Amino acid sequence: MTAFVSFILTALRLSTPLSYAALGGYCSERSGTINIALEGMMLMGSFTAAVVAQKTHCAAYGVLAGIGGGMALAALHGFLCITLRSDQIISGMAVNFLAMGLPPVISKALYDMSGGTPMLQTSERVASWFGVSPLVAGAFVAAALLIFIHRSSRLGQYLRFAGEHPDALQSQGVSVRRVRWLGVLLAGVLCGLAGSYLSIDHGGGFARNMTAGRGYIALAALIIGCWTPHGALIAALAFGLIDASQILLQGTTLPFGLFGGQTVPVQWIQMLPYIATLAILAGAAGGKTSRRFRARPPKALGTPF
Amino acid sequence: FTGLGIALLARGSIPGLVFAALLFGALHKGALDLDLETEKVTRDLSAVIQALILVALAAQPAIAGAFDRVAARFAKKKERA
Repeated sequence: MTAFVSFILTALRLSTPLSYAALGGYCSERSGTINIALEGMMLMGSFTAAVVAQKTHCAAYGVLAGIGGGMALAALHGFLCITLRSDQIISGMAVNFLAMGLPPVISKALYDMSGGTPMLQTSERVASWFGVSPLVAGAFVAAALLIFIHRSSRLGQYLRFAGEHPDALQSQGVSVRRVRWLGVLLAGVLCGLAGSYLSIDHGGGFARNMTAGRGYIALAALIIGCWTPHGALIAALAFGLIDASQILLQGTTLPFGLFGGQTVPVQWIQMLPYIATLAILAGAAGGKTSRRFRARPPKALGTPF
Repeated sequence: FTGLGIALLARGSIPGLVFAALLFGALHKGALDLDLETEKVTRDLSAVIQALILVALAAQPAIAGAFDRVAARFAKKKERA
């Protein structure tokens, strides 16, 4: 029984950064800005969170700094996409490259090593509710908030209109640019939270390229979830489950004595989350699936206003 | 990922692809030399420079538009004078 509980807890912990990032992707993409830079914002958030938490020895400041780091990169992405109206994919890739390069440069200048120093007790081990950190619960709170905004609030309608039909929103007198800026900055906040969870809470510091493609998996989760907050949350949880089962499966022998009962090579099992991503994406976004589940992007996604 | 940046910089032209690849290769090699020569600056600075190149690429339509507007303003001044 306890093994099952620990499995579920591991799945929750692994899915938390994905949930935050996928919700951030929802905020940005629903309002019309393609956001490939989830990965970069998460990485910058985790770096700033690690640095500030290490300097101030306080985890709360680290989380705030993580949010700030994510928002800074989101501001750059928003400036390029919304104000300058440039190609949103190029802008996203530029932000990703910046986040891959800038943290090691800064950490070399500060600490003379390629990564933040590991922190001892500044990590948020506020173990409430059976050893689950508050940030994990915060992911669900954020999801509930966004589901409410998406369904039954004027802000949610503005966000959806900015992504589907910005001309209608403009004729109502609402500044579409401001709504899109809000979406992108919210994405920065949420991805910064994801990154700070990754470096302060889940891990003991910042490592180079710590996010390891999680931002892209969060993007896939968003697409599988049909660009809705509840869909993105469920997809992120599913990916967390797959990740947790990948950790569980490592080292187990093949059943039925296949290949003489040897253990599966670790790398094959580590491939599982990414293969699952490909399979689910191919099924969800493809043409053969039923009409209700076909993932359709917001109509004005990617067209600058 | 670097290949993606090169492809975005080339924007569909094959000679441009060759030059972009040469540029990124020069950046990469220079960054490795940076690792050897200096103490404080690592090779990741090349990633930052690549990012700046992509940012400039992304901002290029806007900058071109700004140039056009400035040129139009000069043309108007000439007409009046």
